[in-house]
Amino acid sequence: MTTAPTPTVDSDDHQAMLRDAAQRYVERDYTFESRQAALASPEGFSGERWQAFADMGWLALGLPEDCGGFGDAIDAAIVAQALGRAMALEPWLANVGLCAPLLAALRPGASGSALAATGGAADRAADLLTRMATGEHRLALGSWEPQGRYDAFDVRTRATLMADGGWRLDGAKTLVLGGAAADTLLIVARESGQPRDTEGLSVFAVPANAAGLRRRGYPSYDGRQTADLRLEAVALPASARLGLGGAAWPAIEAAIDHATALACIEAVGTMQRVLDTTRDYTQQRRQFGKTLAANQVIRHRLVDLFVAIEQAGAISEAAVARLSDSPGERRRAVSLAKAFVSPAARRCGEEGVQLHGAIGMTKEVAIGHAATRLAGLSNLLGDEAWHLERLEADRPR
Amino acid sequence: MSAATHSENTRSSAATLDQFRAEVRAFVAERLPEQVREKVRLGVEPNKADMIAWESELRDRGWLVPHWPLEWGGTGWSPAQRAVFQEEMVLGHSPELGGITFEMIGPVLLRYGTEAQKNFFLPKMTGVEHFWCQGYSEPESGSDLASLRTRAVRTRDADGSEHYVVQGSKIWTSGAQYADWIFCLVRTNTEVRQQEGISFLLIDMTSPGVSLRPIVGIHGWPLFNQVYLDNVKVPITNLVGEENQGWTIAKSLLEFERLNLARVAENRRRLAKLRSIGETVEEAGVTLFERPWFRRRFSELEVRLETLAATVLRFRVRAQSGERLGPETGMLKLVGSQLIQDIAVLTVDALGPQTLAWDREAHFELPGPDTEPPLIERHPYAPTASSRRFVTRGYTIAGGSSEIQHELLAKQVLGL
Repeated sequence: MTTAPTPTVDSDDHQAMLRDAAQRYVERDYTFESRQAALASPEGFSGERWQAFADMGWLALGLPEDCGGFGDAIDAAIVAQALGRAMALEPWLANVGLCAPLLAALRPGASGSALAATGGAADRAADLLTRMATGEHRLALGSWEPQGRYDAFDVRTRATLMADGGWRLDGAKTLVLGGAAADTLLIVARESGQPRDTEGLSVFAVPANAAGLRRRGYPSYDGRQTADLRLEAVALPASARLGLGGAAWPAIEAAIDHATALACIEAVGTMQRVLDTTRDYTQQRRQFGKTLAANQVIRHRLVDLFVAIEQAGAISEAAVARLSDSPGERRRAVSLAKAFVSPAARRCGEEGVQLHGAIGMTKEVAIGHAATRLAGLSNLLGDEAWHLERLEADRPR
Repeated sequence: MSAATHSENTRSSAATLDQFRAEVRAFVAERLPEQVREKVRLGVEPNKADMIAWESELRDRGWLVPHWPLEWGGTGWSPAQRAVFQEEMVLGHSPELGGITFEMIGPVLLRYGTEAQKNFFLPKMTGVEHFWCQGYSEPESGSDLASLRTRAVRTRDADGSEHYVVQGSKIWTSGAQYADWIFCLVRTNTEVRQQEGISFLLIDMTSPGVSLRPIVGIHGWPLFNQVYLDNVKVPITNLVGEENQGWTIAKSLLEFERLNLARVAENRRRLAKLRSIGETVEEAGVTLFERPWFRRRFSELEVRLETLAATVLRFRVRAQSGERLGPETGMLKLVGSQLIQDIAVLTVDALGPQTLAWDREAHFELPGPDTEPPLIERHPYAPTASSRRFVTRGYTIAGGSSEIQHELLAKQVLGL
């Protein structure tokens, strides 16, 4: 039994087809058992599945057409919701949600960019994007540092221009989503300014095997793959810098907002799974001679979950629809969504566990995985407090 | 008693209590093995050897079972002293002692056990020789425990000896991997009302037919077990109380130490830990206590903790004045378990995104000289903050879920 698909902002045939295909794939192929097997593998996700994503075009969604891409953020959101339902382990959000919009904005000739002067880096971003879309090359963004918490601009990693025109990077990055499995790491480093300045930041493409780069991969407790990085005198050619020097922050912030909106949609997919699973379970489980769902208090709490999910879906879709608006409008839309979804998602997972009882406290059933997934999402890409604060900071006085 | 004398008495007993508190505090500081303290402080799971080491210290000091009768190892402390002892233990980072052994099966045997059972089992408990686990819940019987189906059939061997043959399975059994014995509720009569056909049996975990399946919790490590009982022979002498009296015995357990269910001391320790995080962890260049969102949420938790403590204190005063406390104390579990969960969530939010990392080893072993240094230092409380927080989700489920507690309060207190 599944919840009826949430009505979304699209009505096009291709979006309906994409939704059907994504739901079918998740239900038929992304089973609990296959997820468990992938989780237990050394990589923590399935490489075969990654290729399947590529074959279905899911790695090209929202990418520029000249890089093999098609569709837009609304299409990507359709897939994000299905992957949220599956609690997908593959670094789709890290690649399609985070790195793709960043590279698209840094690529020479990107709309609104003034990147004619990037010289040797001409097609580096476009090339990375093209290879990401086919599934042959994986990317990860290293922006966050331990002292910065959720502030991606709090960057102490230094980029130093060398005498030969190349670059030297020194610093540390944490919680690099998809970092362990990435072939190229996009590293945000500071060319100038103070640690919390948004000015002075650039993005560098660093091959995963670069000398001086140490990487330790580890999973998050909800099954995402991530990594810590240390860069010590990592030497790069001039062409490694993507886009204009010192001016990358607007593109980085937009990319993180993009990923955040899609993460909210993922959360909605997972929340729907919680509701469906919990509704089924409470209708089957009998105690005191009746089903759990026969108790009014249980029914009302299921209804509260439903209401929260509908609202989370609405505000998250509104955020996705505004990703191409002005930076101020985009920021506001995304923070409205994440500030709502963070606590709602967490609460939804906790309620799912509570309504299941002890069985919900185990990793033997989907609900336990969903609860950790939703808890993780609430602290990923800015928690409630962080987004409330950004809303307040942007409010006209 | 004149007002002046009364207040003098209160003062002197307060002074005695302070002295007692200092004595307990010094003992915990000196005798709790350093590595056990460190594990509890960092949220690492103490193992059986840790528990044996610490419980042996308490045994030697005579403080392992303060609430038991003097002749079985009790201390004869007043309720106020017991409360102080418990608080100092928790604040000094003592792990929770074997509650199943000392709070449940021990008191049950003291009240319902035969002389032979008492003489055999109780010294094994207080001697830190036997660890116990509890076999109540079954896959189909959780909140509705009386519907349990594990069957015990009384049979007689050719030599005339009588025993039960037990068939069934128990689930959510914490500590079964360490336990030497399990006490079980089993069905001995299927013909009568559910509650009237249940018996209370003691089963040796080494008996043929007993097996275990560990169950991995949502935080990622084995938290409970399923215990299978496959035609297990249990001597008739291991029946506690009368046959079919098991439900009454199980219910009587609920009367022991109800005020502890508020977990005031544990809440205090967790809030103290959160305070230290707030004082040291920085966000946007200032400590969390300088951040309005954190300060406000911390204060809200503090208000709830002090209110809970005051509520417990009021119950305690009433109990000391001879009043018999009733089912209304069930509210303490509701409030205390919810509070622990909310403190655990703010602890995660305070430590921030570093709590997303999953480090399995950090849950079992303290970092040692051979531990490879991490690429990036994390706050010492970070590696276990998330899993500790998931463990607390069970506090509103185990031992009578919050939904069951609400029903009991509605029926027994409000008369609905």
